[in-house]
Amino acid sequence: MTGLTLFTFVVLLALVAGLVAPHDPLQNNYRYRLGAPTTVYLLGTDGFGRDVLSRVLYGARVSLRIGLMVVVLNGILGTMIGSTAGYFRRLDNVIMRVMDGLMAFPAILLAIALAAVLGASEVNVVLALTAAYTPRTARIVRASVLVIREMEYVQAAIAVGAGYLRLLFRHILTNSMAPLIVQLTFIFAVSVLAEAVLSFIGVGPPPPTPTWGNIIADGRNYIREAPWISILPGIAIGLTVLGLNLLGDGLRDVLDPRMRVER
Amino acid sequence: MGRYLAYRLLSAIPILVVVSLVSFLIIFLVPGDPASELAGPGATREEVSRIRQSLGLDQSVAVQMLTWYRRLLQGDLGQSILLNRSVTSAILERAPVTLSLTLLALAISLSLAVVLGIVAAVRQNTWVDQSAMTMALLGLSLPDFWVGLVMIYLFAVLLGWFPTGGYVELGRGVGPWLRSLIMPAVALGLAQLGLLARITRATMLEVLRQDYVRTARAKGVPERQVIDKHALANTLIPVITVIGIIVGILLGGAVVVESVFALPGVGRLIIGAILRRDYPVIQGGLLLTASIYVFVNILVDVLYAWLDPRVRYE
Repeated sequence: MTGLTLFTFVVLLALVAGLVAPHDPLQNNYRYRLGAPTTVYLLGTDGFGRDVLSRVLYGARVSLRIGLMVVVLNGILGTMIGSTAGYFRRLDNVIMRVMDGLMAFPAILLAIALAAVLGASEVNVVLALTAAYTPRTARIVRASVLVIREMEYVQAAIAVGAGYLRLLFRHILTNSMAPLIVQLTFIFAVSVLAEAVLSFIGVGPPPPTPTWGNIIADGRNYIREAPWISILPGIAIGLTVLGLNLLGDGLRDVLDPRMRVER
Repeated sequence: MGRYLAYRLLSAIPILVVVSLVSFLIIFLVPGDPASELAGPGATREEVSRIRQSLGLDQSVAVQMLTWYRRLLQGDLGQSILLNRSVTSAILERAPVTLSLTLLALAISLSLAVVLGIVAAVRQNTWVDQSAMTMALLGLSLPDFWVGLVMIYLFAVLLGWFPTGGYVELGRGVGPWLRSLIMPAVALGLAQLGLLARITRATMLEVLRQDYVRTARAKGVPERQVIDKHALANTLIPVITVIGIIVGILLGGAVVVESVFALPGVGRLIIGAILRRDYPVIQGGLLLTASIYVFVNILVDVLYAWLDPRVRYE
């Protein structure tokens, strides 16, 4: 429940960012560059004199939007690839070797390279993260399809003469959703972290877009005189990811009791 | 055992084929012309065509691929465009830094995680357990590069205990070498520390419920010995199996952490290449990192099979 509360809190803040942010996240104030927190700028200003709190609030939108899009694409592609491999045994070997090959790259490095090659933009970040993290999802879906296709009720459906599309969508996939949902929660968490890395390195949504990674990168050069710039967005990332991780743990306990972590 | 090793080596071949193919093909994802992207906006037509030629992009895809594989089999990853030297030598020169960082991060996270996980399992459901697991989860949730920056601020800028960045070679003394690596290694290993502690705890709890543990307790073996002698060894085996995966994640994370701490490693080389579009270095870096991951995993699997003979006969 803590996880859900935490995550909902972040989502709500992102939704109402336009209402609660005290300043325009792109508004420069050169007379108050690298300003320490005051009553006007609650969490200080950055190197351009922009309000850090407002930028972090708007940054939540970008992070969550990217995370959500990655989760959706990852879920769709992972299900398609995983169920094809699990159901059509002839294709299994080829598909899974390709997935193994993709998984041999450290996911974050593959994502960085893809985002860099495709060009720094929000859409390309989503594509890069989807490509980097889908093989893991596909493997999980495949594993549950492999188990479920041998169940008696599936055999019964085959005996009654159900076609493969009906079998797959109606009988097999509906019952392999639990591990997928848990996985996608963790993918959301990982995407938020990875998006920050990509932005930090400079292959994410280009400045002056406020993303958490961009803000940390902006503050990096001023870590001596204005540490608040980098610290706050990191805490925002930490809280979001912690919420999602707790949510994922909780969902796993409820949906997939076999995987239950001992308490 | 020999047969198992041969089997694992053979099964790596298709994976390496995919890895090398992806590393080769990634350059074709560049929208437009990689050569003019690389040359920059102010380049003349001659410069662009010279770069195109040096990248081999003036030839057909099939020829390019043949060249890529022919060179690869000779251990040649091509020429870096910006460094004006071979990719292999550029990577090898920087490898010791990345290797030191990764291994130190692994050592720190593994040793602390095992202690944390076991203490949490033995004191299950107490405040010790809960705070250990909260810390583990927090470690998993914080971005490593940010932890690095915060550490630089706290321990280098404010307290002056460590340098803000830079690398001291091992040849210049173990102390200075460690001092230059300890903060990056902790930042890099923190997430894996969390993951490993959770795995250790879960495995330990399972082991503690086994019959042989009950037998040991029943015959009056002191609890301390039950944990140290009977349970620990069996807990470590599953933990070892994830080391291969952890090494992969650490190698990926090193890319970012190295640039935060200004460590002249392979990661920083790759980031530099990515930002300046030095495609051969990107391709070589991807290929090499993934290959290391594949071989480390073979090593781990073989180690696992040696520790647990049941695995070999599957």
